[in-house]
Amino acid sequence: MSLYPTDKQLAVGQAAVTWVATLAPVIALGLVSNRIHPGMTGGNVPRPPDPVVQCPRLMWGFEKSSNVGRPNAGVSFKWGLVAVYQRRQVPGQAHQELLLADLLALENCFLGQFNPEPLQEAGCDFVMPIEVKILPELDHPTREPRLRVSCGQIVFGLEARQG
Amino acid sequence: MGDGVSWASIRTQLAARLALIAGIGQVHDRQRFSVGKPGSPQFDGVFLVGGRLNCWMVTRVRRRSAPVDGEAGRELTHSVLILGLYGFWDLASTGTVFDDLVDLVADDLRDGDRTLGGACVSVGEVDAQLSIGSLQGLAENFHLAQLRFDVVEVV
Repeated sequence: MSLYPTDKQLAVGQAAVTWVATLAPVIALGLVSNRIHPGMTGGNVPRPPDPVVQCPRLMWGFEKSSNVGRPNAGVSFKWGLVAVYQRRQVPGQAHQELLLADLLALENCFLGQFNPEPLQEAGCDFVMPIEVKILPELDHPTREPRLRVSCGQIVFGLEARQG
Repeated sequence: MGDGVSWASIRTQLAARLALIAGIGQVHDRQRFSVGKPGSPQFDGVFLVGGRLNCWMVTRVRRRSAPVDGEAGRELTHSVLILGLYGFWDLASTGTVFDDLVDLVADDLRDGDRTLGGACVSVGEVDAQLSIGSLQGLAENFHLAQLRFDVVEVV
């Protein structure tokens, strides 16, 4: 998550953020925040200082980019878009199951359609969720159980033409 | 909210919480000092209840500020020290009375409203140190508790 995005990557990323916010499964998550997050740099996953107020939230960041040359098809580039999802734990709940259900609901929005229209319009040729991962849960400095945060991420692979 | 205002609110809330605990005597939202000697109205009015030392003081020993990743606010951590002084009276088994009192305070801070009525994000776990103290001019020794914990807020 250390990549400084190009204009096109930024536009596609922003389109993804805006698009998912309109989808029923994502609306059902009740997100407090859904945005490209400046704290997502160098593999860093920001901890919400006040999980009661700031969760659940979805933070988007960019990762590795590479050029792909194709004969007679110009040059494309591939990159990763990472969506980190954070959900506050309520003592007594099945945190891992709830986290995974939410992540899969988000992933499902992208399955079955390799290039949603808003992303196409932003210049994306291809998008696909390539990894769903449970990240270590985040403890609050006071170690209060109700402020512990479940954390997971989806990595999307994207492709677009240069220029 | 300015930092000074928020700490003022936190210490006020902490003192109010302490005052609700059965057996707690005088509660102050700051460290107190008396120019009067033990037995004087100045001293006794600040530290004694029913002729015996029973006083609790809320104070702050450290303040740390840290930026929040990608956010505008800062996370402010107040390291709090609560001093509890309780007259030592062996016949009244004050050793166990005071032990129980310290447990009540620590448990209340952990199990009660850890936002202190919305004054902070959370109150941390209490680290309590207990010892015996003495004071020149005071006829009896006293039990001393030092309860340390962090209070975290976002400003």
